[in-house]
Amino acid sequence: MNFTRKLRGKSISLYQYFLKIPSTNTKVKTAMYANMKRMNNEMAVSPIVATLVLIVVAVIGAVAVGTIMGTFSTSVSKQANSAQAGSASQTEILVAGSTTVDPITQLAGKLYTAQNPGIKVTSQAIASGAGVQAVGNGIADIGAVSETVKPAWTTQFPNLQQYQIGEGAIAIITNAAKPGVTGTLTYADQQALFLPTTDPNNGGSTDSAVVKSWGYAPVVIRADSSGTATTFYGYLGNSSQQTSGLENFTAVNGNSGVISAVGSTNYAIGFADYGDSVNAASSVSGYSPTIKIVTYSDATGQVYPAASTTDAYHYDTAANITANWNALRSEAKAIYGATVETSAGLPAQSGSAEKAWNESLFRPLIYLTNGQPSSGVLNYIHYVQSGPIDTTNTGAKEGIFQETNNFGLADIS
Amino acid sequence: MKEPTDFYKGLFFGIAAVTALLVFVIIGFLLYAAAPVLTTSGIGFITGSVWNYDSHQYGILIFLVDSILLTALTLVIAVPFGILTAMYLAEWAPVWMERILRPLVELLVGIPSVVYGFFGLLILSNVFTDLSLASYHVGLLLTAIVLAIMVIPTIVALSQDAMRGVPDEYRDASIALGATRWETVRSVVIPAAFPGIVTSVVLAMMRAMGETMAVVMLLGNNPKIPASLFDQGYTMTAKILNDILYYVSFPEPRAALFGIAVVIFLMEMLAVAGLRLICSWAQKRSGA
Repeated sequence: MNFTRKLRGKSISLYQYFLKIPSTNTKVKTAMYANMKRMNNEMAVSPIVATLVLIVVAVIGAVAVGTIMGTFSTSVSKQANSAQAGSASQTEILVAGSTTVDPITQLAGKLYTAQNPGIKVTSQAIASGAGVQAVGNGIADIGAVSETVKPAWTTQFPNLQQYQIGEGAIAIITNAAKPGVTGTLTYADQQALFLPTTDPNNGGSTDSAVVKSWGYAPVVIRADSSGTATTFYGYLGNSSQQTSGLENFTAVNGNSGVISAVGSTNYAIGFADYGDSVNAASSVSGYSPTIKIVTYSDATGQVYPAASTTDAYHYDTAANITANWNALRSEAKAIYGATVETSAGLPAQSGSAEKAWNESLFRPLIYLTNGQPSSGVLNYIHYVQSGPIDTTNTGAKEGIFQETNNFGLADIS
Repeated sequence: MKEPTDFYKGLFFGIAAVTALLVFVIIGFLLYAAAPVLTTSGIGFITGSVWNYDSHQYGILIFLVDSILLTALTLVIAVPFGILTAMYLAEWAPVWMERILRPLVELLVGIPSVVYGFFGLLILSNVFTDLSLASYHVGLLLTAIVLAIMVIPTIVALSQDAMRGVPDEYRDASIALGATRWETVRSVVIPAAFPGIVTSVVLAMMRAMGETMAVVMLLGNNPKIPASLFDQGYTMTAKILNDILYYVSFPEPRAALFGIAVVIFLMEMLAVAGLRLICSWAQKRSGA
């Protein structure tokens, strides 16, 4: 269609032409003008818009191609990262892995940054297994796990280095308002609840302590590659968490997920890290407790958690713990050169460490690195191992392991 | 004179071609990554019900059925709500009310799915617990309700636009023949707007099928087929999310998880094609 007209010898556009021709019929002219304007607008799009669209599409395309190329070259990036790890100076340390170790890392990172400005410690709480993969593939500087290092991991990543920072206990928990356990949970009950058995009602024997609401006990387990779960199932006699054959359960992610699910499901029973559970099990800041820590007995009949110090695996008196802790911290200062606060004037570091726990439900908390860590990362690991005091706490100034209700290296006798 | 639009035509064709190419690249990458397991398992990948990394068995039947069940339940809840809301907004609502209600509904689209998961977990689930309908407060019905809230804005927006696009002459003609407002909507507007409504349902279904975060938080991650509305399940998307971080470095499990992604993609394509067929069949039947 020809979009130009000649008016008095000059070429003008079509709608200008319609504007200028004398017309007694203004309605026709307006309609024509409206039509022309619409057609004109439909014929072209602003070049600016077109360029912006092109840029966006190009960026998306580049990202897609880059991701594809990166995924196909994982072996190259693995080699490159482990070579660079020893020499790079760090301003950011990424710790990825267990949700059990996460509170310790967050607290220690905060204190470390206060003493070493410019170095930031970031904690990603996913799961122990995912943490191992992250550090092995060079994504994270440190992998945090809450279980004994599996042989499969050292086979997959031969350069894995372990640095134990402390230990943590596992507690069996139940809903506080409507507990799923009355009395002491026997070992047989625990196996019936969590292991695939012929009893689909998760109930165990008829005289078990389990409250079988709805005909069965609601059980909460872990959906991710959890170190807590591996340790707990090892205690029950299985090499790993097994769900086939287990009928009525909910699987969630993270220790906090378990605590949240148990705390909001009537009669639910689950297992979680003791350090994470103890806050939800006590009245903190005026909130009533959502969960309750269950008294249970192991295969030998010994009841836990117990205040007794007569069983095989127990912890020191408060005085000894404090003495050990002071000795370790002095040693840390001497060996690692870490800035170690004196414990003069601080309360005795006791509390959780005085209780006894079944040895199998007690697992090491470990920082893993792929190959020799850089000096910055190693400094941080030694700092955590020395059990620093949380001087920023407005309440009692406790060590970070005591504050998070875990056990530092000094607590283990 | 030569039209200046040739250059723009070429430019936009180029952009469209790049976009189409992206789709093929993504499909190709998915198939390439999943090939090792798909070729060894064959059709057993879809029909097998055992998923075990240690024994190298990868069967997604349970996850597939759970995904289909959850999507179907979500649509059963969302489609009536969405279409009836769209009908009200298009036909009966005064302009001032439509101007208030429509943006409010569209705001729901912008809320991240993890927030929906929290909302379902912390607030909606307590309703289930208080009503004592089931032992677990999470399950199929709760997840379906939350997903339905997520997809209703899509259905409302597109269906309303489709209904508004029906020319007024149709309505005028129908009323002139003596039909009531409701009869007009039911017999004239809805059939005329049917392609748009089907599109909205298809998009809602694709969103529900691909939803991950809210499902992981709300469905219970129990690999079984739910026996009741309050039972737990495990969808394909949740399986990928829960396992990928650990198994990303192992070639075979990673290929299996990508295989799940391929199946999700194929399912969505089949569902889109199926719904389009229904749409054209319905139109042929109504003589449109």
